[in-house]
Amino acid sequence: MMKRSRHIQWIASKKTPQCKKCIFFESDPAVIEKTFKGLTILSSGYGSVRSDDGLCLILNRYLSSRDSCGGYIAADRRHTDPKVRQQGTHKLPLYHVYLHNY
Amino acid sequence: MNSSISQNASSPKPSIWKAFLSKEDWWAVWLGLGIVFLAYVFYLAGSSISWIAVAPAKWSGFSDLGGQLAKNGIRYIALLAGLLALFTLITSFIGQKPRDFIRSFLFIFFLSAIIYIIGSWDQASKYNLEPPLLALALGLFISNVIGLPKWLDAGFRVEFYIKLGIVLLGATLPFTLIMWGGPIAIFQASIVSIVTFLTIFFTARKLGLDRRLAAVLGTGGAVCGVSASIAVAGAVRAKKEDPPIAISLVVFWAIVIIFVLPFVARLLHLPTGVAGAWIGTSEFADAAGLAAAQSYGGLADSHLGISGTADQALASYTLIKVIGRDIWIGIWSFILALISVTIWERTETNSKVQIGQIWWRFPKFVIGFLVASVLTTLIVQGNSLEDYNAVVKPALITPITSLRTWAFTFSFLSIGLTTRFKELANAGLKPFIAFTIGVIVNLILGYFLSVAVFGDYWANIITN
Repeated sequence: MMKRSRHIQWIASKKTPQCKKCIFFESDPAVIEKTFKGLTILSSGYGSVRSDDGLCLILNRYLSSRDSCGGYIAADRRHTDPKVRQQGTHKLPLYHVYLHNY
Repeated sequence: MNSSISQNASSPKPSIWKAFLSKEDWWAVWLGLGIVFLAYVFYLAGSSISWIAVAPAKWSGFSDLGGQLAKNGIRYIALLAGLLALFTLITSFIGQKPRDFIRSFLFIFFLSAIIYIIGSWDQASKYNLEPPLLALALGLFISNVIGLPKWLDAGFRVEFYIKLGIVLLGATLPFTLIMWGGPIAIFQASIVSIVTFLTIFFTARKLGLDRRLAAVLGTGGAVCGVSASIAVAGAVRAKKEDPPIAISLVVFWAIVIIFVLPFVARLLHLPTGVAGAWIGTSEFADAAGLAAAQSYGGLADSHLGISGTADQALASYTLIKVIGRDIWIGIWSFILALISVTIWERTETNSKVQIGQIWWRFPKFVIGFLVASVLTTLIVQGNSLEDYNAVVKPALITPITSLRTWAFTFSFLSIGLTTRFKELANAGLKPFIAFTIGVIVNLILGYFLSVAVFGDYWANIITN
């Protein structure tokens, strides 16, 4: 816990772009609806109240797309993972890994 | 201190147009106001949209019903075609696959038509066959006992249908009612929201739950159910596991209350306006509360000793729930985000609290509700009561009311069809205790304010 807390503090201390365009940020309403089981019963992933919030796949938090941290990696940058590079896209493989790990 | 309130100049400006096309709130506004506008154009031309806004009339026997369906069959098909085209277009804009949506909506429309027809039977209330409760019960039975393929979920858009219905509801309520009743609704709802939130939050903290989870649970019980929980979860940077806990608890209690509140109100013979206010104060989600309020309002004409009208139940419910509670979600989110970054997490993050979230998280369908109310009030203004009842109501208001009832029925049915109890997250004992204590406080305080304090006002609320 302390380790994570220090990590967050460290990454937060640097001025970085917002989570919105980070490779680890997932705010697709369809994905949010799948992740939060039962959300569509009395609400929706497409509603205004949710704004553009999404999941941070690293910190395991649900947060605003306007947040930021030092762990930011631009979504349009090629990931270093060779498997991901081969597929030419980052969001889907990361999300795939994420869904199966949590 | 690392935190600050700001309207960060370096933030990329959110695309206004993108929100207009990707958020179902805005689509409910466009479609709802479009229907009102079309109805007005037809009305000005001396005609009406009533031909396509078909609804079953009261029937007493199968021959009567058969005659109705034979006569109006083509109108039902036209309504289905119109709604299917519009809804498919809209849902494809927000990301649904048209093929799945079309198949799913056909299923929803067919079941809704059956429910609407059963609800129009002149003996329906005698057998407790109120359409909202019937829709919900049927949906729950199908999804939990029979089971449905997942792809059918594409058409079960509870929130879109309910938001569209609320915009259309605005067109049937005079704006003067909102102006006069709004402040009372806000006052009553604010008392209950604050007390309920604090009850759940501090009970959860006492039980050792995380502050963020306590806040997510608290707003779920105090403001507007799952939508409030998800909004505040983003604002306070909740753990990924927190929203599903709140979702499970809100859904469980919301469904219990849909059945219990109308039942208790009926036992107490509460006037429809009073019961609507109580439901608006104590139910969590818009769709769930509307099911309960519409169900109770439907008892007004059934000789059960319940005074008032069906419209009074809907009007008082909507004033308290939409005007009194829903529109404050952005402010709740802002305050909790501020507390989160200045007190709870000051050593963990330098995230900024942006005041803009009061608007970003504002439930935009409320704008459509208010605009529709203003439009209709302006249109109706200048007509005598006789003219209103003889001309304006049948040509303009009744068809909109009929379409509103269709939208609500789609929503109530979708609640049942999407509720699969075994798929909901296990909330755990401590969150359940904290939330349940909040529910009990909410129900008692909601009853006291709706009946003892403001009972006279809600019982006599004027809806036309």
